[in-house]
Amino acid sequence: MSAYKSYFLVLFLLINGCASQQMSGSSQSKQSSSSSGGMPSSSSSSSMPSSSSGGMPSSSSSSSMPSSSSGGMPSSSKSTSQGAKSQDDSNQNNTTMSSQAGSSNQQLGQSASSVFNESLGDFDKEMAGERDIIAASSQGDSSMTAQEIADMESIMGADLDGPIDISGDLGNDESQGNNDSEDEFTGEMSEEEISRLPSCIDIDGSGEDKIARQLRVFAIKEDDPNIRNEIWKQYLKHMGIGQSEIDKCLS
Amino acid sequence: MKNITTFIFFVCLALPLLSLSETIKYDKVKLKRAEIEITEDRLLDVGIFIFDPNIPEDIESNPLVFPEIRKAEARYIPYHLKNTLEETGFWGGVWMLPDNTKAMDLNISGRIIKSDGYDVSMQIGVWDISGKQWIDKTYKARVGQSSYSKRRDLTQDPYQSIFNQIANDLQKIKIGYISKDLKRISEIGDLRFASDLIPSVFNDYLVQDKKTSVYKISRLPANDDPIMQRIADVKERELLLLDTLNEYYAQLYREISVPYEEWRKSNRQNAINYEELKRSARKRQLLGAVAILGGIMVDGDSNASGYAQQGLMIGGMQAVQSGFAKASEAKIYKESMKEGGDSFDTQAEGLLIEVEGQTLRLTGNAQEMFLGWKKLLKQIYTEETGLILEEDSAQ
Repeated sequence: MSAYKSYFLVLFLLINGCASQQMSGSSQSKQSSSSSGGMPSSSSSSSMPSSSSGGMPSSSSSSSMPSSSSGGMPSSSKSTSQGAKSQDDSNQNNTTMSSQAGSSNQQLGQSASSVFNESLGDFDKEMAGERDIIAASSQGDSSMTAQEIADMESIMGADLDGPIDISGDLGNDESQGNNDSEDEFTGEMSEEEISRLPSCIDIDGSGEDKIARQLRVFAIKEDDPNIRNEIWKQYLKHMGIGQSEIDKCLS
Repeated sequence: MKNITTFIFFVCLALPLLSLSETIKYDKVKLKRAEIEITEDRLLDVGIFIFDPNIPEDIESNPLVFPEIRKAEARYIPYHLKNTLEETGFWGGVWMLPDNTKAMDLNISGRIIKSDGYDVSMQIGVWDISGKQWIDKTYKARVGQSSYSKRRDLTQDPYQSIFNQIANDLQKIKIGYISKDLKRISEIGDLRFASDLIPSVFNDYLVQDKKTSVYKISRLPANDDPIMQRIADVKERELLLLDTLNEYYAQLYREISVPYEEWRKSNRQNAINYEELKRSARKRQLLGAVAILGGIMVDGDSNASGYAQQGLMIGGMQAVQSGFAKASEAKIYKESMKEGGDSFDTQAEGLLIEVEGQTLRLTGNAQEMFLGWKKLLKQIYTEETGLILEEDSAQ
């Protein structure tokens, strides 16, 4: 009976030991996954704690840059000796990368250099992701640079210094090339000017925007039929007319 | 005879006032560019801090200084300076910095003193990483109308003369350094960066002159020092972070460039009109006062002196009156500047909030990573050398 008792006792102790080993094992793997590379993954870093941003107040107020930090690195380092490290790690906040890196290093037996290398890789990935986001937002950004605007205006012939006086020709001040008004072009045209309009283009210029209106004005003013034809092509393209219809219209 | 003398005296007094019209000289400084590719040993990495917007504490008494515009300028101007320096081809990488860093060989800081589209003035300080000052100078320029022309090369900012002048001055100083000295600056930079990460190891590699505060190298690590290689890896990540941050600054630069130029252009015209009217008002008031004073002082019993006295008094009063009229006309332009400024100020505020939010988020997160690397580097050093590092004291 006592042999049975001893057997059950040993069995109980063995089971208990396995359970505790399993528990510590699961805790290791959890930490290793959370600390892969000792860095928060790029997905978790996208929602960074606001407290972290408080570390660099100088970014918002550039006039007073603290000399205590250097490029995101505070100079007041908390270096510890190897012996004291494990105690420090356990005391530090688990959310910081440094404590994750330290504990994973200990528990997984990973060398500090491999954790370091992994964390560099993670950082690179995070920065690459960040730059992808910036590139995507830049692509979606409709704002143009001064150069782009100037290029566009230069194509449209709107970079001339003075306003283009076509009031005499077209009988309406609002149709001036550089006029900022968005009013529709409704000026009366001479017979010669009407004759320069391709048959497919409305005489009243309905549906035109500023650029189309400018192109119409330049086309009507152009004496060289070939150049005029080219301007009308640009006009029709701008108005969203298909190539076949353009060719048909200008033939 | 006495009357004539008095009259001549007052005319002489008034003449300098009449000749107050000034000949305006607009500055055009050409940028010096590298004609051949610069060898790597002569390239320095340059960091430009976000400028000090220099917003007066008493903003009420400075109604023509717009805080948000100044803050936007404090980011726009260094970014354009970065572009200008890159354009010269004389430098290595050029970054705009949100904060202090030891990753750069040369650091540029600036303070905006005046910027109204017409007159621009900024204080510029440049130091290399050894602590030696290269430049401490106030740059000023008066901006001509042609600087805002749409037919100009639009990569050139209306304030381009100042940017070109700074770039040319920097190049002039750099020419004075032999390649060995420039390399030494970079080496000091590497050691200061290393010392920032593991002070207990690398502090001894540098000595700081007590008088000049300039750093000198006392010894160099081995070329194949593995810990220096890892420190170089961290430095590379700092530059990567700066690259990313600079993408955000570039976005702000692009978004703000058109409205900022429009504001400067219209503000310039208003500033000219305002200054002109103010000067004209002051001139008239002074002339009037001189004439009245002359009228009072004219002495004599003759008819001529009586007429002269009367003429001077009436003319003087009219001049003073028209001076006041000009002054109130000037106020209209001042109001116009204020209105235009307020409008762009609001626009700039929105753009700034966005970019600053992103900067804070990125730098805050990176700060944690850099702290982690500092700890890991110490661990690695101990693992590889067997030396136990002492507690680093705060620098």
